[in-house]
Amino acid sequence: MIFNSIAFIIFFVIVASLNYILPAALRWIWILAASIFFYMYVAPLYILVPIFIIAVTYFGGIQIEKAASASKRRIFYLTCIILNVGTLVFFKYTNFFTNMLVDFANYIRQNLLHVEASVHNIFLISIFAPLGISYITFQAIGYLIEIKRGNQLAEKNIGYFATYLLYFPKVIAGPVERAHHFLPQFTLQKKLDFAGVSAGLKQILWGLFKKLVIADRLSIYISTVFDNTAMHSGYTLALCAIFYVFQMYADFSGYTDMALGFSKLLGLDLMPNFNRPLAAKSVTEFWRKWHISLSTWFGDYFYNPIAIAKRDWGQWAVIYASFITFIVLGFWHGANWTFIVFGFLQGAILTIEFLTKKIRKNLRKKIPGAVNNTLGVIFTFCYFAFSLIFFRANSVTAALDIIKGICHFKGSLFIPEQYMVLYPLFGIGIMLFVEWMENRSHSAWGYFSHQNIIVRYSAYLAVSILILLLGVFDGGQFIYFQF
Amino acid sequence: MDRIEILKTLNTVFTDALDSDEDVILTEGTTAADVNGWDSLTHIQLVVAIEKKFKIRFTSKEIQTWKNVGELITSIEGKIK
Repeated sequence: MIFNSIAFIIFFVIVASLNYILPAALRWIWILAASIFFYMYVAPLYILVPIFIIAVTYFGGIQIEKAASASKRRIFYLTCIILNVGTLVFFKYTNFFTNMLVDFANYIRQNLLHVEASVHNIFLISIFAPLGISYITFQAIGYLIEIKRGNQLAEKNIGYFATYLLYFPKVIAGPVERAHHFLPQFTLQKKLDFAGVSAGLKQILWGLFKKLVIADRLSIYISTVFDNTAMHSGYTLALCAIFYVFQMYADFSGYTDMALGFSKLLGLDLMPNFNRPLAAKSVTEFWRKWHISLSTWFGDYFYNPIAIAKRDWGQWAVIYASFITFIVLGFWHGANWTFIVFGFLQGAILTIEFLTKKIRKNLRKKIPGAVNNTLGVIFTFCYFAFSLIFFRANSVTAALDIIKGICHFKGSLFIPEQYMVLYPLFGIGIMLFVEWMENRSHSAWGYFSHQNIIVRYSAYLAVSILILLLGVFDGGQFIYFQF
Repeated sequence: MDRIEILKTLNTVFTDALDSDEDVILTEGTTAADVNGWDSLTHIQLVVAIEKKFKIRFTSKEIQTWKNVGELITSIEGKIK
């Protein structure tokens, strides 16, 4: 059930209406029931996987907290982590690893033993990964680590805990919510007020705009080109690489806006996931503004422990930790070498930016601020667009073919119908303008909240009309649902 | 060395390690979010710089549990006494 589907709207109206009527103390039961229904909607049996994770993590958390000795705590902790990571690896990476072993065996047979490459992968599993498995396990792992570090009390109410992991607005593609932010909201029982509902509706509207007018519009053009790269000129491929950054951002941040908006309507706050990343002046800054819930997760549980343990290496500690973190972060997206290359490229640029910090700072003093900032934003955008070519492609070879294609600066720009490019460009223009205004007033829709009621509602109406006029209504899935 | 002196020393350590254009002014309640350039990449350099300055060694657990500068000062205080 995707957010911009009729089925979801009916489902959500029922959930939200009853949620209003119910006494605050009982709301979590209703939200949990709705989340279970949401999860089971497509493939009912798959609910067993999150149930297993919830059980392991809930009981594990309590055991870690009350373990009498450090060694016992360690055993409980490691068991829970292994079960969580094991579940994730089994569903997401079995085929990748077994295929790699088989390819290796065949390579040896062909090149060293000179016999037929006849090894087949008998471990291939033909099941798809359960909904949101990466997000559920990551939140569970983070929760366990915080308990072990003594920063988080183990949740005693299994219902609250199950709702934390299964909560339907965020179960498929995040944010990777933190227990200390989410769980207390059940006991605080925030009142559902007009301000919250109004903020929620605005955020959903804005998310829909980004998804339907920008992402799904761009998707039509980009798919036409990238699914048939050999037929297109370098200019077209370059344009698509640029467009793909906007598609990805509009799709993922549009989804997140909707998730946060729907959640506000239910009286629960989710953490923000994006902070105008396209305005970042370096790739390092970009990763502080892009998919924030995941990058801070990797920072806290991956990067920091590695960098702290190796801190005597000086600068090498930062470089080593950056590479490992980003390669794993890339691989988290899926079992494909393309994602590993994507992660490697991020690690590489972060290292370069880290090592050239002083030089760049001295250079900055000699160049006017505006020029410097603009160059930074353009470089960051282009580098991210370049790395996303690997992210989007089916294989590393396919990605390299696109890059080779881009380097041939000839041919004409492919524009089958003008509206295919003009509509999304118009949408991108509005998005960038709104973000620029947001930056000035420091809140989403902040500029409008200070205007009179006529200006305010005209703006909401204009966005709604634009969605209806320019939006794609038979569009597809959100990109991040596959991770 | 009392807490105020530690805080003063930390101000210079932060300004140097973060290589910031303006002086860093910390209070006990300051968190990473309040200081320009204090992120997970620079956090580790800060830790190393603090350890060198005060000639102490933190445990991994300490480094990961500070919530603000005040808690960092408490850790330092406990080690230099």
